[in-house]
Parts: sequence; structure tokens; C-alpha cells
Amino acid sequence: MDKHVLLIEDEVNIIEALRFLLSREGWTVDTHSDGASAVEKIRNIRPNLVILDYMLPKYSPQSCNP
Amino acid sequence: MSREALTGSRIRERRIILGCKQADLARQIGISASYLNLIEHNRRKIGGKLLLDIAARLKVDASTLTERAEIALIASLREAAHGTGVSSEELDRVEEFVARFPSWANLLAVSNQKIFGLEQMIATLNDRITHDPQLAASVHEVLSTAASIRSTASILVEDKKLEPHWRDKFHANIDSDSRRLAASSKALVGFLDVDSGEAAISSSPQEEVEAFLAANDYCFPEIEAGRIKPADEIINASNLTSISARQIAESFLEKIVADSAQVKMSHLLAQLEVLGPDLVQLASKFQVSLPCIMRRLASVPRLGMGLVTADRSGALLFRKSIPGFTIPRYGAACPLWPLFQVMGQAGHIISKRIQISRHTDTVFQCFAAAELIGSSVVNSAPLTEATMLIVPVASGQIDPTILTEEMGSSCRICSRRNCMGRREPSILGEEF
Repeated sequence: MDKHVLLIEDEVNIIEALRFLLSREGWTVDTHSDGASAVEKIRNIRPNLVILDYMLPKYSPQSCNP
Repeated sequence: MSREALTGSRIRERRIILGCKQADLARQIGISASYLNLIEHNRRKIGGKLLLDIAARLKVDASTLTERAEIALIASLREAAHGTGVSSEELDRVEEFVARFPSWANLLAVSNQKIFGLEQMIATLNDRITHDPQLAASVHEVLSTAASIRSTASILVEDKKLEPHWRDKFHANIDSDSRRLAASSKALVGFLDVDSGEAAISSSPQEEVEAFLAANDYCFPEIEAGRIKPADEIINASNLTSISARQIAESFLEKIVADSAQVKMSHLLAQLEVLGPDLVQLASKFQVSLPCIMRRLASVPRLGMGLVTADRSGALLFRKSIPGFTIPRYGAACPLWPLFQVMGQAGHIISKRIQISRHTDTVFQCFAAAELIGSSVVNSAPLTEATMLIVPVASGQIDPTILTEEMGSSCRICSRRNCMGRREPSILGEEF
């Protein structure tokens, strides 16, 4: 099974740590840091898993219904 | 019972304080004890020579006996009684209470004022903790940084075979994050710090900015002239302590830069001499919006004009109060203000003559206009901000043929009766 995760986060150091951990576990990691286009990104790449910073600037959690 | 009618109660109170028997005082002033008894129980009017004689014997001014029940104290007690279930019969006897027990009355009034102050403080703190986006952002910053440190530290501890370049990288990340955490924690503590007394508790970022602007008389000639940049002015402002306040203040100063680029102060003052304070003509002359002209006029200290702006939700974004026209710091303002009448009607201007209280002679000419904020977005109603310029009208220039409308500051301290816009009862008695 393809293990594709999209990490939506704007903290660079958190991205680095999580990317390291997830890659080591065999996940293919994509990252995205713009809250305004987060939903569009999810729709485009259709990952198996999304790890989302709930308080990302310019992101409205209520609008997330991909 | 009128205040004058309670003179007898004050005589009695004063006599008892001095330890003088009723019969002795009556004998000294040459009347019967039974007549003095009637006077002391407010059943006989007293004045003239007899009042002066009694006052002399009691070692007080006659005016002290006739006017002691101060209006302010009575008003304070009425305020204290408001909404507490005190019966109307007892409320009607408030003046008698003040006359007979002035010290107790004063204690009650002072206690009530202290309670009101504490309630305001609690409301302010509660509002900040519950709704303040700056606080939410500060907490998020601290939590994010802590999470980053936690994740990175776990990797360093748990992975014994970590490659050197990754180890170096994560060490550097922890170093930078720990510095960030220290700074953001300090900022958060500063935001919540309550050890500096009431002033610090009630000082929100918005209030800090208002104090900063007031200290500068809302006028920044060095910035307008381009000799100082807004960011530099903010750095040197010792009374802007929080990051949020500095951001708000810088944004305000940037607006001054933008406004002054369109309407230079020297040009505005020159046109004022030619056109007078005609906002429409001034806006047309400089080809700017009406709110822009209002902001420029309000930044001229010698004109003494006030200014208030609000967004579409009715929240007041900027306040410059002037004597006689107080803009509320807490709670909503009077919905009758022209400020709210122009909301959503960009380009429309309203001019009204306003009297804030029917018991003052101060009259204001208020001009209100709204403007669109930001650029247009398809299928999205534009955001608007309304601005109201408050111009005091000199008492000698009040034209009685022009309609003057009575309005308030906020419902709580407005005594206007039968007002359709009232949201809550007033705390003021009818004598206000």
C-alpha cells in the first residue's frame, strides 16, 4: 500500500522533525504551508493521510470537506 | 421630601453628635423643647434668624444644615439601588437616609463604586481571555514552539544512530526554537501580567495604543514630513509595551503616512482658510474620501475635533474623545449616532447637530461617512468602515433654528427616555 502523507504546517522546524520521523517509517511526505490553499492541495494530491495544523493562518477548518 | 425639608433631621443629627440635649438647645435659642422636637422631625419649617441661631449653637454654617445632602451622593445611592430590589417607597426616602446617616450613605456609595470598578475589571479580563485574538495567537505561538522542541528532542534521545548532519540540524533547531519559546513566553506573561495594579489589568493593546496617541495629541508631524518612519516611532514609544499594541500603533501610523501623502497638513490648513470646514469641498479639492479628510482634520490639535471609527459589526476601531463627547471604552455606543446610520452606504455623508445630554449646553456638529475597505471580491459584500468627525459648536454660534438631536454615549449612562434604541436600562436617576 502506498503510504502518502500530506503535512500541512507552517512551522519549519516542526515540518523537519515530522518529515524525518514519517520518512523513516516509510511514508512519502508532502508538505504545504499555505492555509488558504490547503483544501485545494488535498484535493489535488489525494494523500492517504493528512496531518493538519488546526490553527494554520488563513485556514478555516470548517471549510475542509474534500 | 425635598432636601430643604430635611433640615430638621440634620439639626438633630448634629445635636446628637455634639452630645447636646434637646431641652438644653431649645433653652439656649429661646424656644420650647416641644417646638424644637417638631423642627427636628421635619414637621415645622425653619429659616431666618432661628436657623442662624441653631447653626451658631451647633457650630456649623446654616447652609450645611439646609444643603448637606449632596446631589452626587443621592445619585450614587440611586445607582447602587438600581436593579437590587429596593422598593420604590424606600427609594423615595433616599434623601432622608443621606440626611440622617451621611457617613453610612457615603460608605455605601463608595462601596458600590468599588464593586462597579471590579465588575468592569472582571468583564475586561474575561473578554480578553475568551475573545482576544492576540492572546489566542500568543498561546498558539508558545504551544507550537513547545511542540517543535518536544518532537525534535524525542528524535535526538530515541535515535541513537542518528547521522551527524541530522543531529547537528536538530540541535540547531532546538536552539532556535528554545530562543523563540523564551521570547514568546515572556510576551505571553507580559500580556497576562496582573501584578502592576489595576492600570495594567485594564490596559488592553487597544487601550495602550489610545494612550500612546493621546500622549502625542494624535499628531505626528515628524512622520508626516517623512523624517521618522512609523517603525522607528514605535520602537521609541516606551508606553507601547505589548507586541500587539505595537502592531496596531504601527498600522495606525502607516495610515497617517498614506493620508498625509494625499493631503499635506500645510495644504489642508491653507484650504481651510479658503473653504472653511466644508468636508465635501475639501474632499473634492484633494480628491480623497470623506473619511480621509475627517482623519486629517481630527489630527489638527488646535481644531479640537473628535473622531470615532467603526467596522461593519459596530465595533469601535478608533476613539478620540473630546470634552463633553465621551466615546465609551467598554460596551457598545449609542445606536443613534450618525456613525451607524451611514454604515454600508459608502460615499453617503450625514451631518447632524447633537447634544449628548439635555443638561449641558455643549452642542456638536457630527459628520459621518463610510468607505470601502480592501478590493472587491466577486459575490462577497464589501467590507466597510464608518467614520464620524465630532466638531464642538461654540456656544455663541448655536443657531436655534437648526434642529439639535439628543443622543447618548452609551445606554448605561444615558437618561434619554422612551428611546427606541435603548438596549439596557440607564443607571441614572431622573434628576440627571
